[in-house]
Amino acid sequence: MTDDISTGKMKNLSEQKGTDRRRFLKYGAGVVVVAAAAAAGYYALQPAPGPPTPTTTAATTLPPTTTAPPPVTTAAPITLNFYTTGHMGFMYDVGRLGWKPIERWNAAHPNIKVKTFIDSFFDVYTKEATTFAAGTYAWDVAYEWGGILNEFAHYWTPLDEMGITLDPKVVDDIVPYARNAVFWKGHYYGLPRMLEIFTLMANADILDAKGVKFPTTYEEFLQACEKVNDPKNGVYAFEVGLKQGYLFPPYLCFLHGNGGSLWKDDAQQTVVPDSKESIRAVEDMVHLFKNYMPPSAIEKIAFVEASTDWYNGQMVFGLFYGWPTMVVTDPTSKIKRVYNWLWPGKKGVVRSGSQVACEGYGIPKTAKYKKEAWDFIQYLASREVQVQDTLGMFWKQENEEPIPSFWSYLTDDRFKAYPYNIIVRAQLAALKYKANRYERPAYMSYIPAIEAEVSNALTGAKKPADAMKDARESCDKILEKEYSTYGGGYYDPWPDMQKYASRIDDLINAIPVEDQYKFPF
Amino acid sequence: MARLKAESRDAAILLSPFFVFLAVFMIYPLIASFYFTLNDLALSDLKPVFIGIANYIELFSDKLFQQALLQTLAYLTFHTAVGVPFGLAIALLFNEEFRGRGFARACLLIPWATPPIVAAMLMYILLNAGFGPVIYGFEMVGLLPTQFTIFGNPNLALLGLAFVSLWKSSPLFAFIFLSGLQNLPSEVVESARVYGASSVAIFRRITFPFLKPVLAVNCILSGILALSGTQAFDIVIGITNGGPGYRTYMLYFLAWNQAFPWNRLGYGSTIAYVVTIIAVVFALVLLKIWYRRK
Repeated sequence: MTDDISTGKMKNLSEQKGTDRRRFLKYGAGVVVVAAAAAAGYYALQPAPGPPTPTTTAATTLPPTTTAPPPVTTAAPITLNFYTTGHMGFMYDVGRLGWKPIERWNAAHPNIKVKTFIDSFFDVYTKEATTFAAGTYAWDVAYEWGGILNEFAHYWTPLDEMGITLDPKVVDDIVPYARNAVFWKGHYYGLPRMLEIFTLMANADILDAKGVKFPTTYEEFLQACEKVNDPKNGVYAFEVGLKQGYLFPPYLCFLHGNGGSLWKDDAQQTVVPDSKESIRAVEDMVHLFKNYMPPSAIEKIAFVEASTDWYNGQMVFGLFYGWPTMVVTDPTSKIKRVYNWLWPGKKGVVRSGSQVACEGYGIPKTAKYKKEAWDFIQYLASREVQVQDTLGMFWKQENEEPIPSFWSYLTDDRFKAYPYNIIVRAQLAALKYKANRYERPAYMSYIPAIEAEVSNALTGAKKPADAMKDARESCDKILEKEYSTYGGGYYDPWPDMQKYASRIDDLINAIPVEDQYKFPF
Repeated sequence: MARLKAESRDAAILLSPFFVFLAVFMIYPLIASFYFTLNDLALSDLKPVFIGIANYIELFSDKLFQQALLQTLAYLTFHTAVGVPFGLAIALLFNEEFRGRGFARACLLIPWATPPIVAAMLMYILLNAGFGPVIYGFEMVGLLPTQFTIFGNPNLALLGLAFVSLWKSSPLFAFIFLSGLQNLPSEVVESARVYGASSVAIFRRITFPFLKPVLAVNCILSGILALSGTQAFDIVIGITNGGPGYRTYMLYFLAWNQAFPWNRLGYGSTIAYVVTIIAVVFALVLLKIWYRRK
């Protein structure tokens, strides 16, 4: 072009520009077509999901208690991609006590390096859903819970497809609520790694100073709230975060405490947030919020953002998983003693009702190293890892550790020292009562629909009955679509849980505790 | 001719990354998402079922969509009607000579340079009713009742988000206005002063007319940010997560929720398309007004 100008061919420049532009576009379009064809060819040539990894394992039992996983050698070094959540530091080697499960695994398996990927619990669902839908390899072992397994089951590898059958003893040892994390329509997709259940915690010093007994019914709980509530001095009777995003779990406690259930026992397992028990539950929540809770609770997520108030002694009762009890081991805390026992139900209706969280690990269909992934999952589900996980519990978010998901681990001798024992005992006791989380395929749609309306009731935007009627309307639309896609038959762990009532009693009685921490079942 | 061919080829090679980028990240998603809008599609099975315009029809009966639409329009109006003039005021202030102006201008960039989700979390912490130092400060001097909640109050939450968005966007508007002010011929202003024009008159007769193209750019930018930019998503998810109730649901946030957590990719895409149409209409209307006046 410079030559053209220097030789005085300026008049042709615009014509040439027009020609060039057309050619550029032509060539450019050609490049795009070639790139698109190449991409299409690449995807067309991608192998279909591979056949099940051959394995000789006919039945599997969990590894025995060891301080380190058994050494394994493989032919060539591999990297096992492990996807887990940020709320349990133990699982990515930042546990309070310095017990590092991943580092131990890597040391014992020189040819299998575990590479950990971490996301906030609140981002896991979307990340897994989009990754699975993309069909690309990302992880060999991934975080699994009922909410995502139910909806995305065909993106996970059922164990039987790998030729693995769980030993009946192992199956019997899994707490049924925890089974929900890895079990869908008759198939296991992994092993549970933890269990947590809401219980009522109380600042024992304040209760004792005011002569208030730990409540055993909801009515007693309200009376206790009345006696200990002291907002003028910055002490509120009760607190739990009420912000949308984690409002559903406390709602379930109030629902169960009123003897209610979120599902009907019909073919569709219809979600009924407008049942009389549910409306009463929301009325109870509103009453507590207006009278005994800090106004800021509406802006706080779960217990995590209320935990500073707990640590500072600015709340007397708290409803959450057991780990905030560990605040007593922090010398800087203003709470020196904590009572931890059942969230009380309505008098004459039910002794207690709670809600349970359970998580596990599974193998995505796109995993590269399924056999090694299964070995690693068994390691994570082993007694040593689960017990160490519980022992690493603390009151801060990064050490939000749970209790084991296997019955036989729950009476491990190492739990006997205070305060672990009162946490384990309380959570065991709560397992005797209904604590369903109602995980099902459209779970992630039901939750915001219900939470938004509970929030509307809490802020006074709607009356509880109207709000829950609107929640039902939203849920009905979700249900229609869900049933047409998945056909019902979702696992309800509650009937199975009731079979273990006497075993729970035995386990509780096997855990020693000082008399002051003993409360009626 | 041969050289021309060679040059064309070279140009095509040089341009090809752009074409590929355009095709893969702009054209393909646009076409694919439009195709999604005509289908019942979920991430969980990725088997599209053609339903024609049923998703678009559903919008008319979807109360949540209508609420989100109204809230988005209110948010957009506030963002533009308050944010852009506020940006202009900042620009006029920072256009004056004063000591430390360079430092002040650098500080002005901080809100804009802060990643949106970080800005959201920062504001969530600062303005939280329980542990927010700003709210606590106002409570201490008696200007607010104890544990005053902005984001937990159904009547204030959207306004609170709009203010956060304003805090984040105004510096950008201010800098765009500043770039316009830098091009304002100083001799015109000085002449006006010599002839005795007041500051207000100079602003009305000289500065503001000169800034009108920049004003149009800022208004369009404001609208797009409020409709489908980071302000419409990060700030919502970082501070209120759509609550209390549905009071801070906006279209972009709703589109994301429908597509991913609620697993309705087709319907979510439909809402996203509606957002795009509103953004285009908003920009066209503003441009039309501007060119008519010109």
